[in-house]
Amino acid sequence: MDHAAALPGLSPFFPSPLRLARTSKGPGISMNHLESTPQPSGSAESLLAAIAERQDRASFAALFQHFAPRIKAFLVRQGATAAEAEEIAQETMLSVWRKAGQFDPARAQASTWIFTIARNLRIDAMRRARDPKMLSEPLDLCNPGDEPHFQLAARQTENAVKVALRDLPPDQHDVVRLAFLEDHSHTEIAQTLGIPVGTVKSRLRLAFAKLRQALEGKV
Amino acid sequence: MITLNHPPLDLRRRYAQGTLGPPFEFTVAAHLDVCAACRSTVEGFEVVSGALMADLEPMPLEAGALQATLERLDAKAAPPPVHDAPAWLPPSLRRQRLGPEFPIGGGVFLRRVWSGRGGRGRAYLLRARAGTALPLHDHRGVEVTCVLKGGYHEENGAHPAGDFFLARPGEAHTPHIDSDGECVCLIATDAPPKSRGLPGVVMRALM
Repeated sequence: MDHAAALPGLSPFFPSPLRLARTSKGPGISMNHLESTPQPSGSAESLLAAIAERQDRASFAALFQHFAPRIKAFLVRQGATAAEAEEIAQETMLSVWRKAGQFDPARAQASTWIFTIARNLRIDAMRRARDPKMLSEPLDLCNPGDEPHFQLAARQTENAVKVALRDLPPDQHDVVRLAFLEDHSHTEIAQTLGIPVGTVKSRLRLAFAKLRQALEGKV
Repeated sequence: MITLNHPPLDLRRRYAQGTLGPPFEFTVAAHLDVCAACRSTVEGFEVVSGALMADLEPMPLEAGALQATLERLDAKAAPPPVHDAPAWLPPSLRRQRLGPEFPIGGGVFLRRVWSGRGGRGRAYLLRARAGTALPLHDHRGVEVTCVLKGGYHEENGAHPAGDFFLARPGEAHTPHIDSDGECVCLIATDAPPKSRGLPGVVMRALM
């Protein structure tokens, strides 16, 4: 099954998805045993299928080259050391190899599924390290009276979320990145951006309302 | 009508994105095991987090990382640890090795789930017989309770199985276990253990 046609839709946040993997045979990484097989192409979902169906190492290498550096970057943003993030990124990809058969493209897209594996491994690492995370100041995301639960659209929503993120005005995008990626409080975001706390709250609510519409399939 | 209390949206978001670590993540995970509505919200935040991750500037791994991982592909995964667990224990707690159960008197038992380094933060199970009145207590830190089995009631109202309740520092309450069966709660707190009294002594021994 050819997923290549689906790639343009992913382009904003998945630029030339695995071309990177196909062309990077950097120093120090021996890919000799992969040279004889045609380099894999296609979406992350089709690479996962190739791993599940025939333990395809070339597809795994392509997925690794794309996702491992992003997992590492994500974890470092959240406060992990580079060494912790490196280890969890490798463990995540090992888990992806073992669990590829459990991936259900009807339920989630590859980047969401791989993200949750990395997230769970990070939580396990914090448990083992007996490293407590205290509660910081809560971020209110909803307008008063909004239903705090939401109904996910039955179909995949990841593309809609990516489009919604891309289309956020830059000032809202900055607030979302600080809140969702780095877990800053209202006060910290206000200090980082040099804007009043009230402005942080209103931008966050506006951005969250748009993301929520995307998640609920209303865009 | 008894309504279930849910984790605040903010805690669901932090859980989904991975910034809510132990001890509080245990209580959110236990609630998600029984609450489809909150699972749906968390899945939504996972989509947002996955999209943000995919959008990040990649951070190169160390040289040889791919090769090292490729070499590990054929190794068998270590089997998941099997701990002796009661049937009512939610799936999210089954990977965790629980401490021994410890009676603190009055038909109340404590059991360690997790403790942070230097006494900073802990999660534990509290089991109490039907009809038990727990002594009035206040909180020096934040205390989150998720009911795993049975139920209790107090000044704030009823707390059935699955309920998620967050008490802020300084809030005092007098929980009463419902009369129709024993109750097990998962409790997470960031307060240091009390230094006086039997529960404090037990708590320090347990953790």
